[in-house]
Amino acid sequence: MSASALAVDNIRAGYGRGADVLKGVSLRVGAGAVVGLLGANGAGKSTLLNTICGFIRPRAGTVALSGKDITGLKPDRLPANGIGYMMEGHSVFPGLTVLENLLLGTWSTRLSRADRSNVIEQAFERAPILRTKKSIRAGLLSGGQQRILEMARLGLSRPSLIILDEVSLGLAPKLVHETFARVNELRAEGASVLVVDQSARHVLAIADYIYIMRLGEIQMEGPALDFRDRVEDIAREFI
Amino acid sequence: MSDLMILLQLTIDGLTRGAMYGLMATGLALIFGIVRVINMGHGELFMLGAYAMYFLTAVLGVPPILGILISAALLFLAGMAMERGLIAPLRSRLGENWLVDGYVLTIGLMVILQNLALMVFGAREFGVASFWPGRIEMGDLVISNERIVILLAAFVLAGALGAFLHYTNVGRAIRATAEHPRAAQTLGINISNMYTLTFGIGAALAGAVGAILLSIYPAFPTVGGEILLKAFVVVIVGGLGNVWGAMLAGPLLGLIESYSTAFVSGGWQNTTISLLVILVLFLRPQGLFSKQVVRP
Repeated sequence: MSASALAVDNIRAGYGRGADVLKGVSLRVGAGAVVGLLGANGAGKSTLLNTICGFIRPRAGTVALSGKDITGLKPDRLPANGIGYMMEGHSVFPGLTVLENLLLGTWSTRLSRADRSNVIEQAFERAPILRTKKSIRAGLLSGGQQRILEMARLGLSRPSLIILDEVSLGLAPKLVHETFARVNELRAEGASVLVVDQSARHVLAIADYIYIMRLGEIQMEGPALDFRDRVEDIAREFI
Repeated sequence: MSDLMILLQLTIDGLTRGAMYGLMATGLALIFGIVRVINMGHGELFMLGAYAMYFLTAVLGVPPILGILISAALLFLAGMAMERGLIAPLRSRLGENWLVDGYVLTIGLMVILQNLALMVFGAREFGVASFWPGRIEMGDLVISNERIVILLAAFVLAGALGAFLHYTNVGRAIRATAEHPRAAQTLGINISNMYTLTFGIGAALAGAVGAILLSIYPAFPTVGGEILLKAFVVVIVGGLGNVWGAMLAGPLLGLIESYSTAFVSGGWQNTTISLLVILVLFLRPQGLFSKQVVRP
């Protein structure tokens, strides 16, 4: 197999002068794969994502993207490196209009004005609700509509690796379903995906491979198929 | 002179004065809204703009419009240097508590700049006669050309800032940075650059106002004090960090000053304004023109 889309090796990281939160974590996201990362609150999932995305500098270990070392990358270099990161909680700009939010999704793409209009037009075709609300401030959208906007904005820079942090949190089941359906579309277009979530059921439904974290370490890993019939056990034991 | 003419005259005087308060406050609101620093040194940026304008026009003979532009450009650079050199290091070092440190730092900046000006230029006032002498008379109504230029300049600058913030990529990125810096970063926006740029723009506005008003407020080390106070009142009335609110509250304040001088008596304008601040803080602490933005 060629180089993994994302290769995390032996990452140690923590906050301030505190103890290591991550005690040597390694994981791989294969090209075109959907990988799920599960774990309870406090297992270190968010710390790991913050480290991969450059919000925290690792104390040891490396992060590589398609074989290229990106350890300690600044967060604002993510899109230029083909990483689309959807953070936990809402990330729309509430005082900016829907259209302005989308325009900023093309910030790092260096598209011409015409090409930019084209990709935004495509996003409108995929999510017509955004077109009808394009001049409305994003803060006035419902939670579900904000999520649709976030997903649309994420896709605009054509990321090759998509990282989703707790996207099911606080969303109605129907919207979670729609979000993951969109994830599958992006994957069909060639993106690799890392999904981090507390909901084992959602993640097992779309992932090919699963990692389970506990107390800052990878506790268990394997093909998602192996876990599917044990959802209840896993949920009870680790999450 | 009919009562209506007097009212009209007072209105024009108030609007001119208020337009400049509004521009000063807009810079202050922009810096607070985006960089999150209450810039106590904003009046000193005005003062530097006034000195720059004096030396450009009275000493070097640069035409006034060009003088205003150059003064603004110089203050733009100075503002960016201040942010990059002094405020950015605090932001990266101190986590959540850096805001108070930033505020104190700008007080220090105010004192240092005032004393530097005193050392370099002395306490003397550097003023000029009107850049645009002459006046327009319509019956009893008299408007000096200077006031017309000041009003025009306020419209042009406010319009340019609004257009920049709303219709350019960088302007949108600045607003995004104010609303959700982390999300802005993940879209590839270099937020440090946005903070620096914003501080530069706020400083350029203060510099431009200092330059435009040179014939009314001659340059001297503490000239920025009064105008800073007025700008703070405007910011409170318009809503903290609310750029549009500041643009609207400026003229409102100018009108209140102008009317209260005429209808109550000279010297009362500061009392009226203090009363306004107290009323606003009690009844509408978010400012007269702030909408409650829905936050996620």
